[in-house]
Amino acid sequence: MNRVKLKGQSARAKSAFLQGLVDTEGKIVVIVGISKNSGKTTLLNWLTDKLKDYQVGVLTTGRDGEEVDLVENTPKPKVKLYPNTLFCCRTREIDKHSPFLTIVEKLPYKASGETLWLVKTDSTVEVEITGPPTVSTQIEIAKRMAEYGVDLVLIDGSIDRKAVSTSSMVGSLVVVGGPSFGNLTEIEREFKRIYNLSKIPVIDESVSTFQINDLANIALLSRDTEKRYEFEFRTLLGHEKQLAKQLNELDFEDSMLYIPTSIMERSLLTLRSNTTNFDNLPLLTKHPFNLYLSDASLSKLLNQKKLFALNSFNVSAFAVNSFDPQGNHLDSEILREQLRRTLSVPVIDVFEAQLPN
Amino acid sequence: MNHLIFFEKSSAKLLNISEIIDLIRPVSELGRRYKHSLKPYLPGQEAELRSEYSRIKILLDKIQSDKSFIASLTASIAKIDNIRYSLTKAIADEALELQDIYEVKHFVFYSEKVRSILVEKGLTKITNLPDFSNLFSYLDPERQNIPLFHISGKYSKLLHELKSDYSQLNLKLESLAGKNLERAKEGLNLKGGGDQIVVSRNNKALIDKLSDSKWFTLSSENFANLTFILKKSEEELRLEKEKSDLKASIEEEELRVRSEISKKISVRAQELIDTHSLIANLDFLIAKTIFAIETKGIIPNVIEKSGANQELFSIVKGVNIPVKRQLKIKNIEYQPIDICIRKNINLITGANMAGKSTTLKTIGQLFYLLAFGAPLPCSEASLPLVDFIFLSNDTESTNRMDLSSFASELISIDRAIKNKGYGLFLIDEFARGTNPQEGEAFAKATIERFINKNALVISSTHFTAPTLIKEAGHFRIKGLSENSYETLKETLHPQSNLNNSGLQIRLQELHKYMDYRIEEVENSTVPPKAALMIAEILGVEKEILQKVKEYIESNGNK
Repeated sequence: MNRVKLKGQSARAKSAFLQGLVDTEGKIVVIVGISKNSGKTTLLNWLTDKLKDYQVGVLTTGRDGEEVDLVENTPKPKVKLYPNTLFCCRTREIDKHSPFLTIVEKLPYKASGETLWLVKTDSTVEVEITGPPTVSTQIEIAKRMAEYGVDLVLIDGSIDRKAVSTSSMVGSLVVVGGPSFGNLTEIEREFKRIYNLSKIPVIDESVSTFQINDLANIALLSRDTEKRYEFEFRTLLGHEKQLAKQLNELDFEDSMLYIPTSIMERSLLTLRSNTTNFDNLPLLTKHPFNLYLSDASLSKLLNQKKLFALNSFNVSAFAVNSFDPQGNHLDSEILREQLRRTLSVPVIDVFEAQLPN
Repeated sequence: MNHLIFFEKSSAKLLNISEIIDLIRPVSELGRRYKHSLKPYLPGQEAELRSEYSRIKILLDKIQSDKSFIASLTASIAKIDNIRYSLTKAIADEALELQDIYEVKHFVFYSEKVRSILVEKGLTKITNLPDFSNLFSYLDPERQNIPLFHISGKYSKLLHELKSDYSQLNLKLESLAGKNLERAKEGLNLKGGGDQIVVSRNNKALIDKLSDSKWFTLSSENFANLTFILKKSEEELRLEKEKSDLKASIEEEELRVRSEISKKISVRAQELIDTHSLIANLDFLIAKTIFAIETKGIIPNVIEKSGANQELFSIVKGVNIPVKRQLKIKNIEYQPIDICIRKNINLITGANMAGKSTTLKTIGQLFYLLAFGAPLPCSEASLPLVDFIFLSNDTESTNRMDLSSFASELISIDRAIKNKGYGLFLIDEFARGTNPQEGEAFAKATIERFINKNALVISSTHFTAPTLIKEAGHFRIKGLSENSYETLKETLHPQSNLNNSGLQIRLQELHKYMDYRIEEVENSTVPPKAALMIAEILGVEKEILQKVKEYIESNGNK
């Protein structure tokens, strides 16, 4: 088995992070940005370069490597792929690089009406990659890549409650952010929020997750007897008072409230102020990305050990990029050092270099 | 399997044709398209239809003795795509793109797999695919025996050398860049860092060091940071130029090779195009064979149109698949139908709920399946081909809002009678939508119009007058016997447990005692009058039933 080695003392943390990626359970890692132009492609290129000794599969959930951003008309880096990399692209990309590619498979999926191909690089190429729009097909292609024997699949994805990052097939996330999201405080707060979400404990095995996954509506679940009371509404938004009224009529001791859809801060406040003993009722969310809560609310629920999730996710690193195409750049050193002080997972800056102290 | 065989499109819906043909499932896109574009067999094409059925019979016999091969056969067929576009380009002497050649290789790979199974199982009689093994070998020069494709160096020594040089050059460049970076980092005593370094404006020491170094150059700056990039050495710049020239040479040679491969493909292109139809037909044939297994279907005896008083068609244990499936859900046993028709005009009578409409529909479904060479869900059948199938119905036939149900039915049947060709007319209780006296006259007169017509008519009716037509055959569905009726009445007696049961249970009980068998009777036999009996069993309000009885009795006494 190859080991990832980077030379130099400061590189050891990066080596450990890269080794962690290669050892990811399920072989699927999703790179997510907290905003547009956060630097995902730059990180992807850095990763493919550092993982040259491994066979990597590269996939995106839209388009990546196009010359300019189609929305903001800003220049974008091409995706650089080394020999023996599997990737997914449109027909026109094969036409551009045909001497240096092997076609592995014509995929049964399309993106914007165009056929998608699974292709292997025979030589180093700089390409535009394209992926299918739905999570299930993205995961299907990632699984196919794994079946073809790749050591790791890197997916350029997004952070959203309906995105590939929520799939239980994903081993870990690398979260990328920079000033295109906001100022340093805002980036720090968002990274912390994501980190806290990743720490929401998964419901223990005594509760049958299989049965809960079948529930479409909000439900009160008994922990001991697996009894459940299903309410008549699926979303919390607009039903807070109705739910509170019904909860007040029920005995919810030793139960938890399962909410399969989004939980907003305001909904939670309304529910709390209208339900007797609400703080004693644990909440169960389908996925942490369904939570849109303030830091304080989230921390409180976590500290009280009253928040659980059916599915969880793992953040293997945060990556930062001080550049902003709109000109709101941040001091690169302050950005990474501030985040390193407050976050307990690696913070990567691919453009970092230091002089000895 | 289009609906052109029907005189009116709506008949397909009334006969639940979709539910039946959905059970015939080709696995490839080619097969699915073939199924939907297929034209029906018409009178005069009996020999072709028999030949199609004999192919199904061969496959059916083979599967019954050895079904192990069918999964791998269908799995290979499912992988075969339509590549006509690429082949047309090859025929037009165009250089195929990499993906076009991949598609040809993929097609040939799976076509060869299918062919080898057919050869191994002695099934070349059903489909004899061309041998493309030489073409596959040509498209698989590295003998990997997989459908992946790239322009192998084996096609051209020059291409092989150029690509090899290109790879070496890439490695050399990467190595040079790596060494260059390492030297720079050592020289500057840098920790970390790649060929692009972003430095905070506040880090004066690093900025000075990078600015003064011979290895890095400032590429951009903003109010927060400065970006330095590693300078390329003279050697790197020279090699990059060499790489760019080499790339152009590779592209040129690759185009030449693709043109050569395209020429080779063009030689077999027409055969490959023809193979599409063979694969599509085979896929459909397998789907029909699997349909036969799943529905316990049989290969019918295809007969020519016969003369008067000879057997025109016969069905033994004919099954209406949609009805059987519905009854299965309700746990009710399905009774198949037997019928032997010797006259051009035939009347079916029987009590309400006895299955007259279902019988007509079953006949229609079987004639439809026959027209597409599909096995029939029955245990024996001798059927002729027809030019069209007409199913009368008083609600949907003309689809015109400005016509009453009777008018709509009348116009529809009038049009159908005038249609050319040998038609199967399934007429379900014609003229039931008008007053009984006139309706009976219309029903008789309309049936009589078929006496000298080149048509096969099966008509259900409650009227007596049509049954008096001497040229017509008369069949009756046995329905409820007096004994069964008494038993049912007992079962649904006020004191019995079932008395207050819902319609579902009453229907189940009715089905249990109803005899759906068809018997041939004398022409003059009066159609049974069992509406009151059925209404009673279905639990219609007693007051109404009493009034009906009184009315019938008083009318009978008049």
